[in-house]
Amino acid sequence: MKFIQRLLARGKLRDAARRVAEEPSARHYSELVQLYAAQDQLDAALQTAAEGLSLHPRDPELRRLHERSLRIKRDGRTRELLVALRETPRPALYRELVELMLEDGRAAQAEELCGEWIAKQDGAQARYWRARARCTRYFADRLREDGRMALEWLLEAERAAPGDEGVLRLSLDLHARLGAWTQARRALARLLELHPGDLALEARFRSISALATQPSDPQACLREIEKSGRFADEDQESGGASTAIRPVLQALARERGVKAAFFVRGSTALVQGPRGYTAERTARGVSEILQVSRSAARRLGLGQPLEVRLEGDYGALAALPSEQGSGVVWLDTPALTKRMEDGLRELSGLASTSGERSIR
Amino acid sequence: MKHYLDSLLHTPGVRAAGFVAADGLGIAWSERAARSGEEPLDTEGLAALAGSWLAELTRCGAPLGWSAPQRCVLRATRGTLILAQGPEVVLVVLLDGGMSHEDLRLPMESALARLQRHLRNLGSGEAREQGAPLPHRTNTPLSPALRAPTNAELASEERKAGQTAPSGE
Repeated sequence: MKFIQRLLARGKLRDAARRVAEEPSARHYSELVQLYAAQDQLDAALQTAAEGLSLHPRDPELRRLHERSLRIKRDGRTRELLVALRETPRPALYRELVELMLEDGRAAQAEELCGEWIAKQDGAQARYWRARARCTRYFADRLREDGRMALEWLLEAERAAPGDEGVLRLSLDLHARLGAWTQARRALARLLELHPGDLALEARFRSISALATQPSDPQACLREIEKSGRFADEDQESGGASTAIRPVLQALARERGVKAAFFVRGSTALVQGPRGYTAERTARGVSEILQVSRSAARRLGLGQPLEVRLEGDYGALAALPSEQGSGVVWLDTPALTKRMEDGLRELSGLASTSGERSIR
Repeated sequence: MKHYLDSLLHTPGVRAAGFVAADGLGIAWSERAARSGEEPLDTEGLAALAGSWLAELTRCGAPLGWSAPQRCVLRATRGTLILAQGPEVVLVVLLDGGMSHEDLRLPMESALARLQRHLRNLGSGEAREQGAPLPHRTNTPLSPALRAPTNAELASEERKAGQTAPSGE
């Protein structure tokens, strides 16, 4: 029976590969990836997805399949590592597993594993990875308590391994995000001692030195970030350039039942649909809704918001907030089609913006 | 009220469900922790924060001419919060991370409809006979002897008094 199934699957794979060769569209690539995945040929699925993404980098289905294949592969390796750790716990295995968990977005589990690692074999590496896991949690949720613990554990890691490059880079990353420029400059100076003449580090040192005019208190920075929901380096990033957002917004606004589509980042927004003062007023309202929802998610301990939906007599509002920017759509009815969801996901994934209308 | 909430807890992934007043005061809660032995939630805090989020959303929508939202969903990395506006109360449901909020649409609507029916029955006086714990407004009109006269009735009485009063001159 299995032999027949394999034979049939081989035929399907051959057909799908031929279709890709004839017409290398995103849909054909997706079909081929799915067939490989169904046959447990994960490496082939990953390779095909990567090949498809190089031709269609913005296709959401291919991106989803690529991420899913990666995740399945990581899950397999995680299981192997868990078994190996039970038999022979070694720092290298712990390190790989923690790294995998962090890549997978399971920072809390990674931190738990680091706790176990410290209990069994305390050392500088274990403390560094624990600090890194907590930093990842803080970067995702922006809770003050997470930030406080991240700073504390980072200090412990620094004491355990003074001058370790990984620890210094983590310290630089955390303090630069917090806006604690004096501490960030100190970490950079020590990194420059390790890598004298590194052009990227030197350029960063100059820009951070310009900001570190007066001493900064990391605790005050944590409070400020919890209040505003924005890291210090995000303020500097805004105002970049992209022409990719407008077409996605236009496509969203053309969908049946869509009243308006927005791309919101910080205090700026791009609007498609309403015009003039109405556009400005609606964008301001939508931006405030996102802001209060972010703040509510943090206060409720739910972490970083992924989706906000409102329904009322005005229709429905669906938003996908992200660190880079939020895609929002205002509809007649609550039902969101797959195309709309893909559009919103694409908007939220777009990193840079240009020509945004200031709404403050 | 609690048994309307208990039915929601049968849906997989629901951590807690509760009725919250418009001012963010918890009225009744049903928690999964009570059954599974998990760490209990701070339901009072949850009710206050959910109420404050709803109030803030209403405030944000007011300049656009939007009335208070009927259903709000906040999906985040560690869970999902769903609010549904009911008759004078808000139904709040907290879901585990990764659960679909759409699965709860029908059960929540059903819980609210049952609550509404219960309140209607209270109003019609059926529940009073069963010993309802709280005072409530009835829809049946009071007899004229028990209620204060209306302005129209006062005016007509004055007119009648004017017609029957003997003239002084």
